[in-house]
Amino acid sequence: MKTEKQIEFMKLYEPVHNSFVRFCSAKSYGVIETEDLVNETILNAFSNFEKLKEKKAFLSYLFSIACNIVNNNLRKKNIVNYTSEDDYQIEDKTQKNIDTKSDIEVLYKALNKLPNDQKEAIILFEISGFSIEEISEIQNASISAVKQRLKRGREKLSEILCRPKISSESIMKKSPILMNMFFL
Amino acid sequence: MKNENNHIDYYFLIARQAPITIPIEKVSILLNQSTLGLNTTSTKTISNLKLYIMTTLAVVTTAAVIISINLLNKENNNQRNTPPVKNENIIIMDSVIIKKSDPDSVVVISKDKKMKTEELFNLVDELNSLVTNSSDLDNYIDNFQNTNAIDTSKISNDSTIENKTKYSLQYDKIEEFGIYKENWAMVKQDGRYGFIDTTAHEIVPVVYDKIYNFGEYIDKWAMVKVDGLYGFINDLGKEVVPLVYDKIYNFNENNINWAMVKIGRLCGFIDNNGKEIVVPQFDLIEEFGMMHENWALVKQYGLYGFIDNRGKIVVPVIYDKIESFGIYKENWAMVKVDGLCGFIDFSGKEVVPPYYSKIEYFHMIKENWARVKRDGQYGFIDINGKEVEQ
Repeated sequence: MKTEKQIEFMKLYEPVHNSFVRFCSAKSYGVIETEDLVNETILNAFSNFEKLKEKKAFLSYLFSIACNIVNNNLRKKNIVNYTSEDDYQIEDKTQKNIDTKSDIEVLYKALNKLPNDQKEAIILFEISGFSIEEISEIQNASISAVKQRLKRGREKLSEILCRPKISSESIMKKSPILMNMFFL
Repeated sequence: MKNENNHIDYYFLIARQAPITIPIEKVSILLNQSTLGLNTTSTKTISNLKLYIMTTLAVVTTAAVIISINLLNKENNNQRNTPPVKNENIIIMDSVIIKKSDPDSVVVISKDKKMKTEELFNLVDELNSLVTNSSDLDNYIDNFQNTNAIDTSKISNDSTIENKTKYSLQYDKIEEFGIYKENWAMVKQDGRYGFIDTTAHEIVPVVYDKIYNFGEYIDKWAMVKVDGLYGFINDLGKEVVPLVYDKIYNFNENNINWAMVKIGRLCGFIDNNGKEIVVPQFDLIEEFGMMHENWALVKQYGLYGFIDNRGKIVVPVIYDKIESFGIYKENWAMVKVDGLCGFIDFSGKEVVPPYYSKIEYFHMIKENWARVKRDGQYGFIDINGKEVEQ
């Protein structure tokens, strides 16, 4: 039996569910399990739902809870930059069988290199599909600030993702025979 | 730059098209569990918990093996040195308890009077005819378990159950299992009721004067009564609403999914989590939605106010009278204190303080104005409630 509170909550939550899960997938990468982040955020948001006076502020309310959980976990783990630039491997996109899952991970890793505001703005806009107005509401920032974050974020992401780097590790992975020939 | 943009757009595209791993139904279930107060443990916590449980199990199993070996040794020693311990077998069935206290006879105790005396005697005869030596009843029990003739969880030939079963034998009455709740039987002792499960464990202590049916008032809960006071237990036997109320009305009455409760003559509300949303303090609470969509009129010490559908007092209980909204002006209601009139609006704000001995309808003498009387003098207030200066 659903309570009135549940019905009201779901009415606001359901339309943003997909966007929210995508946001959590990207935001939680390397910090917390996505499902844990989604569950914890929802339970937190639901238990304090009465305190949310303006239902219009639901988006901002929900996403800030998620961000706080990630930040708290980050603080606990004391993770600041846990990925090395050399981790990224640019693959040839002309290949027919592209491993999209690993590509998504490459993106998530790259996103972790951005400042928090830029990262959030990029995820919300490019992955979750929110409008700039909605993001300005979620991030409690002006529209021009959001635009700036998106612009700078994209620039930095391009720099990270499109700069071909072949690390020694990748050579080791790709041609162990060659390495054996030269070094052993 | 364009190529680079195309490149990152490719990443965004695949991230946008990634399948949603958490279906919306899961969220609904999560909220249901949360509302019911169930544990909503995260996957990570579960994996930690699994590890913990597995470690505990390993420790417990090792300890059990050691204890068993010790007991076995002890038993062997006892058999050698002392007379054999009397083996007492007990079977708990739906309507009867079969107890073997002597190697050659069994006692059948009817749990209630529903089993006919004739049937009972037949069962005693049948069992006694089977018992010719001490191992017969054990074989009989094994046979029951192997053929699944009855629920094996309700049978025990384990002597460790002895203490628990002795407990169950002290009840004045044991109802059949499953009448009130699956695998539970209501027991009566000294005029009080409780519940035991199929292992004779007392799930609900035998302290209640009355236990109503589960689900009668609210899903999975049963109302209970002790010394004229009412509360609720849940389907785990836990008291979810303390027994402090003189009366608990049905849930979902009064246009809200709460239940009205009374302590003495004072009314309040509990929600479907058992939480006291409105402390019993009002002489009267009218139905929600009667005068205002989300509010209910309340009366305390002869004065009126409003509570909202969160249980908060939104209009203080200070008015001698609150008239309906919309009579004088849309979304305004006239309030009276000590014979003086004013208005509150739909948010509960006092838009015209109760200063006037009389307020006439708006637009009667002049459009958007209403004539008011204070201290024997007449004047006007405008449509926003402001006194018109003349």
